[in-house]
Amino acid sequence: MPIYERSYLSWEGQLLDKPRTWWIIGRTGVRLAWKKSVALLLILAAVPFIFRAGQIYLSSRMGNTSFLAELAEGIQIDAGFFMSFMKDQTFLLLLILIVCGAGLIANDRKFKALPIYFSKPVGFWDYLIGKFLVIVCYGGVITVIPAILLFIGQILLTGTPGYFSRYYYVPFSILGLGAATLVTLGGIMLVLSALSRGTRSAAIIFFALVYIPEMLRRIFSGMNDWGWISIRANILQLGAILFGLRRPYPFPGCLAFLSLAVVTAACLAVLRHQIRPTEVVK
Amino acid sequence: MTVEVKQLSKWYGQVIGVNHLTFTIEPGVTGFLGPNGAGKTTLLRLLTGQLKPSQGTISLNGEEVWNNHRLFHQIGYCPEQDVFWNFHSGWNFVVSMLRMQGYSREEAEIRAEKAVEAVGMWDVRNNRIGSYSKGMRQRIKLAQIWAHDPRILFLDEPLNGLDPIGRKSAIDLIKKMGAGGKTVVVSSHILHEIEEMTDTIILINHGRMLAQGNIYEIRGLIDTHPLQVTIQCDNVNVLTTELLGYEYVQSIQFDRVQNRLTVETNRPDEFHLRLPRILSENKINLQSLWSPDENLDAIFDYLVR
Amino acid sequence: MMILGLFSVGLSLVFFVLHSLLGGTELSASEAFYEISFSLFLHLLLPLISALIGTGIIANEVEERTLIYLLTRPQPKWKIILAKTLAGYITAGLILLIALLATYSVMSALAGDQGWMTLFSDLSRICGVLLLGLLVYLPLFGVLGAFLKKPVLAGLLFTFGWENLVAYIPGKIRLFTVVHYLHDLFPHFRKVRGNSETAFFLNIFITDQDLSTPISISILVLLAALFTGLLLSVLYLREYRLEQN
Repeated sequence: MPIYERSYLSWEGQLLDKPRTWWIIGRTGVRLAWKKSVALLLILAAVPFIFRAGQIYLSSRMGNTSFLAELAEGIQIDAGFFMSFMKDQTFLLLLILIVCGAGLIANDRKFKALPIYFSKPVGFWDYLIGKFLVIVCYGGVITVIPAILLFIGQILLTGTPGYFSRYYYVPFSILGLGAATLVTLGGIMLVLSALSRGTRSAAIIFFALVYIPEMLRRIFSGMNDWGWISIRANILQLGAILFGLRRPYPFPGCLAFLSLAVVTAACLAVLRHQIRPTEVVK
Repeated sequence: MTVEVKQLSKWYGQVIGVNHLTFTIEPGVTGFLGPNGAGKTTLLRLLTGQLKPSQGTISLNGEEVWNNHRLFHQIGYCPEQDVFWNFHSGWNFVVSMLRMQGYSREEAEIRAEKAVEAVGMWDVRNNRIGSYSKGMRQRIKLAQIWAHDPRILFLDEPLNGLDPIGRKSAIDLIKKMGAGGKTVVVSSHILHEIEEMTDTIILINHGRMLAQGNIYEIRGLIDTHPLQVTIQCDNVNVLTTELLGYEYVQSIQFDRVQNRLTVETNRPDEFHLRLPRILSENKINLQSLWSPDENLDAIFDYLVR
Repeated sequence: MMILGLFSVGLSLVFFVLHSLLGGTELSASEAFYEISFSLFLHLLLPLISALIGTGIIANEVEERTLIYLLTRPQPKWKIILAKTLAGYITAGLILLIALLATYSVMSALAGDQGWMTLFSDLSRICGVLLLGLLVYLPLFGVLGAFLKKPVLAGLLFTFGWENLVAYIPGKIRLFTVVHYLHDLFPHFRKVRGNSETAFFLNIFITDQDLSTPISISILVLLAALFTGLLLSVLYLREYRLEQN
């Protein structure tokens, strides 16, 4: 008597040649990160934005030299204003990266999810871009997007074409600095996440890696030529070049760029080595 | 050692873990049987003093368990979860667990040696737990509980991940302990697993106790509970007409397009005995036969109803 | 964690050697040591190492679900936490002290005889301040780790947000920070006279000594006792429902 297996039916539809798996990984990561007190940090990050927006409003209404504008720090709304805003967001950016990024790869390794990812049509780059998308999303929300909004606000409030023609390059500088910051810091965070199984140790070592060189650079401020050893100093140096400002440190701008590029390349190399479907335990 | 549970409830906010349980466990092996999420693990955590009862009492030989660490000398607990300090070797894990029981290093090593050997892990005892297979991890977990010779053992899904040989030796060991006068409580969602170890079971579902007693009595209940059987054959009309004449067939759902019928019977044994004869007498070719509810969940559903 | 200590010591020494080789004149070797011990050790490594170890005292066992084994041993719960806290204290203390002493030894050896021996009593005092700081921060982070889902975030916000922010606010609000009492105990902080960027910040941080040494020590010991007491009672106050899978 014939017995037929009935439990499986084939799907007759058409599969995509190149499924956008990175997008699915990224979108899931963004959703998961949202549940991890990111909202609180975003609210905190909105405070400086509101303050800066107030400064723009006051300066546009009263002029840069008015009493109220002086009260609001007597600030010039020039390229340096936007650079300074992005610089001030660094601490919160580090916290956001810690909250969103520390567990991105660490949790996949801890819960042995990597073999599941790589048993699907997911390649190294799909996985990495997906994870990086999470960092770009939340990092961008507190740095690049508010800076661009401030720039647009300034143009709308002043209403003069002169301002735009003078500072037309600022949006590109914001994007450039944002990209350099997110790629470097995000890369380091992902590396630490890939090297560690615990999100806490990844978070703290990340903080230390960014701040210890910076603190030592400050202590030995007489040797600023060696400031390129600090990631933060490199980012600021590169930012100054991008925004057309006076460079804060005496070392060459290309050295800052090279230093960040080396860090990024090193991060990629480590990630390439660490992100594997199987892990050998000795 | 006797375990007495009275009016025990545990809830987490609005979620009920276990609800109003009252039972007594005597020395020997007792099985907690229930589907996944039934509340077995919560109950074991309550019995081992890891959780505080929201209501009711638990006592071991008349002593309250919660916040009574002295009692833990007599308890051995094997968690269901595959959790370890992965940096330990299997040996170090068992020795340090014994040291925390209060044994001197020498005594701990002597006991660890016996326990590790008993579970067949002697050769790999110095490897890191992180490098162990699932079965090996399960075995080292079992070693740490009988190493200190507790009077009462709580084993949460102890056969998980064990190979047939490992399962047999674990089952033998559990039975031996029960026969030796220890109180052994084993939880599982697999009926035949429990059956191999003990006759005494407590059925749990949705945090409630459905039945307590001899496994054969509960089996009897299972044998008479209505069962659905789906049959696919080349002549459903004839088969349906034939089956309608039998008193133990309660209902028939008929699908002519797929040549399929689903029969609900209140005497599954009788039905399964008769079906081949009906098919051969009427020259019906059977293509497939399966029961959509032949699992523990269905049995529990039935018992709850 | 060891990497953290080694990284900071190594980098400090690299900077110091380069500074000496390149003839940096603003900062003498002994001033550099004061700044390193103050800025790097007291303000960065102490809170970071405390956060790393402290938040893990209970949270590690909960996350790894190994708490199951600890809670079913015949030991009182407070003893289990005390043992873990002590182990964490010894580890963190050793890392900080070894790193500080290594920095001191190498810097004094490289700088030659520049009155380093006179710094020795200050060195012991700095060690004491770090250990006292650890005594407060470790259980504080332990409590954060026991009650919060994101203890590191809370810890970083507290130490690098609140404690640094309050330093710039005039008045007595800085009494609500731990680091203020540690500043009071830090030896000869007025010796930081360099023209470096940190010297500028230090002068903002450190105002006149508010409290006498015994009062500062008493307050720190009281805080340590309070946080330790809270940490030891965590398993009695809070019940952990560990994930099953």
